Amino acid sequence: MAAKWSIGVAALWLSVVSVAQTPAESSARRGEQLFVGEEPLKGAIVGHDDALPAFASKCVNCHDLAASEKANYGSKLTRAALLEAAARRGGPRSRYEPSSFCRLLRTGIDPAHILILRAMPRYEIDDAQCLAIWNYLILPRD
Amino acid sequence: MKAMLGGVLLPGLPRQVLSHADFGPVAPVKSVPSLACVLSDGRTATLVKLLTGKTTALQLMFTGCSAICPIQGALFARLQGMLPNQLARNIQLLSLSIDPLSDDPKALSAWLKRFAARPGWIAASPALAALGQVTALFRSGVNAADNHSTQVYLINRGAQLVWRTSDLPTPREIADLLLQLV
Repeated sequence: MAAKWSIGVAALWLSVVSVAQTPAESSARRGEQLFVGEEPLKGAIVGHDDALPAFASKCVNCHDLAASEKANYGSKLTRAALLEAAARRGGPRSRYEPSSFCRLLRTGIDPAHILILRAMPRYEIDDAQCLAIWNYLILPRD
Repeated sequence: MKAMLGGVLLPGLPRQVLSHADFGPVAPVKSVPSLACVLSDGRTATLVKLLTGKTTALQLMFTGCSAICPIQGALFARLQGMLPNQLARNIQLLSLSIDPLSDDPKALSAWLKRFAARPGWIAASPALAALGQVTALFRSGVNAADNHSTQVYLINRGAQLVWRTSDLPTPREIADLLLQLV
């Protein structure tokens, strides 16, 4: 009886461990929800008084995570595109870090200190939300 | 302002500057071509007929566009809320598709519904053969990816294009221009 009970506890423990997420994984999961709009983000066009409806300011509306040739309105947000040094928008070579990524979302200024298109909303986003999106974007996908 | 909207030059700026500017007054004003359109309710009409007798804010869009068009739609929704007595003033908003192959009346109707458009905001698609005339008239401010402008075009009651706004203008800016043009 004791042996059966022990086996049952062990099986339960294993099942819990197998589905438990690390903080980074949990953050990335939230990042995906933010990226696709399951959790709304508050964003506005520069110069506009009012925030856009959440469906109009979802990241996924404009950005693609795949390294395909398909043209998108916004930059491709692959892991490599973010982490590898590259010249963007005519600026010097730069790469993203969590802090510069969050600054871009809030202010529209990229890591090379160049202002991105006005059409991209600027977001009222807290550190946890921002880091969650970052963690989602830099997940290895290949 | 009303005179300026009618095509009178801004003081101090040469005609060449204004006529080639990407935004601001259109000088000289341009008559809208008489091209065929289908509306969200299935009716057909020429663009001139849709515009004549009304002061119109026109945006280019297509319903399959997920990037910038939802922002444009949200902008018009906000604008409509800033136009008291819109119908009495004969002000209309027109979302004009640049994808007539896909944007049939059903798609146009869904577009209006998505943004809770009220009477006075219409959507239309030009006939495919007339698409070139549309892009020629509203030629400035083309975006590479979505291939259309995010400017708003103001058209007077005589169906003449008189003003191009900057990209993604504020709803307040468009409302002010419309109310001064009426």
